[in-house]
Amino acid sequence: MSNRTELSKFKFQGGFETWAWFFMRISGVVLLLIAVFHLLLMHVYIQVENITYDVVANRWTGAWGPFWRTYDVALLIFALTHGFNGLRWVVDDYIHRAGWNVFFKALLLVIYLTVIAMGAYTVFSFTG
Amino acid sequence: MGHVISAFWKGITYKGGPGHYAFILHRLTGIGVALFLILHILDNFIIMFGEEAFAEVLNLYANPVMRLLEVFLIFSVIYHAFNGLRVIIVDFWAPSSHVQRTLWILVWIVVIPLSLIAAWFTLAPIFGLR
Ligand code: HEM
Ligand code: HEM
Repeated sequence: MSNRTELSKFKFQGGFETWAWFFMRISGVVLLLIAVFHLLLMHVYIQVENITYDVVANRWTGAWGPFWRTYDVALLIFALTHGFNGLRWVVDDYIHRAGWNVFFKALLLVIYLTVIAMGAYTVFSFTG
Repeated sequence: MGHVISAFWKGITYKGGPGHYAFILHRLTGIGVALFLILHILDNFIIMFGEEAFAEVLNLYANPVMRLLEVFLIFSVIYHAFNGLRVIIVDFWAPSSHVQRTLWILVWIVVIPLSLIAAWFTLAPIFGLR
């Protein structure tokens, strides 16, 4: 962590890793708003034992449908991109042998793309 | 695999003070939430198979053991979120160590009550409360 933290003291130089570091901060602030709100909405406002097919169908197809679909897709993209970039850092920190390092990162990329496609498909093609 | 485990063990037993524990917990909660998110997108996907299939999924989550894990998830998201905000503030602002200590205490002042409130709403129904 200290290496990444010290990056902030250097001049902004661009490059993939610097952008990734920057993206983690930006998406972190976004997620602080949308992921924490999603969690509190589900547990404190709707309350988990009240969640049913109809509740979700109403949220996605009702008057506010376009809003909630956009919200859920934003959550999907930000949370997954932030989370999987974080997992990539974890792989780099602990898995040093070149072959396994590449293998795990490729695996992460495949899971990331599959899950993002499934999530987007669900949000956009649900009709009720 | 051995060196991975020993690297991880060194990470956990390294005596770096509160900043290091903050980092370990940030990392573990981040990994936990990311793994849950994969599961969560799969469970949401089941809604495409209709009302009955989705009801079965929701039923799995209604199990008391799952509700307990859910409380763990709530804590993980909230800790990771507010500790993450602390990391961002320290990175861009680099305040004095005195302010950093205050920020670290503030994280817990926000995280504990918020987690307890959400935990109450999640667990009360399984005890017939509320
Ligand atoms: C809710 C608001 C969130 C904030 C403010 C936040 C903030 C951050 C920050 C600043 C980092 C970089 C830490 C560092 O450089 O050492 C980070 C890392 C990470 N985050 Fe988040 N995050 C949030 C949500 C999430 C979510 C929803 C997930 C999972 C899907 C997640 C998973 C991770 C992972 C796996 C890492 C890498 C941990 C590491 O390198 O030790 N975060 N987060
Ligand atoms: C156990 C706690 C949670 C519950 C009960 C829950 C509940 C739900 C429900 C009912 C939906 C359906 C859509 C809607 O009604 O808007 C949904 C969608 C979604 N949730 Fe959660 N959620 C939880 C935690 C989380 C967390 C921690 C994250 C982020 C890391 C998250 C990210 C998402 C995303 C991305 C979607 C859209 C899914 C898709 O694309 O198919 N959820 N959630």
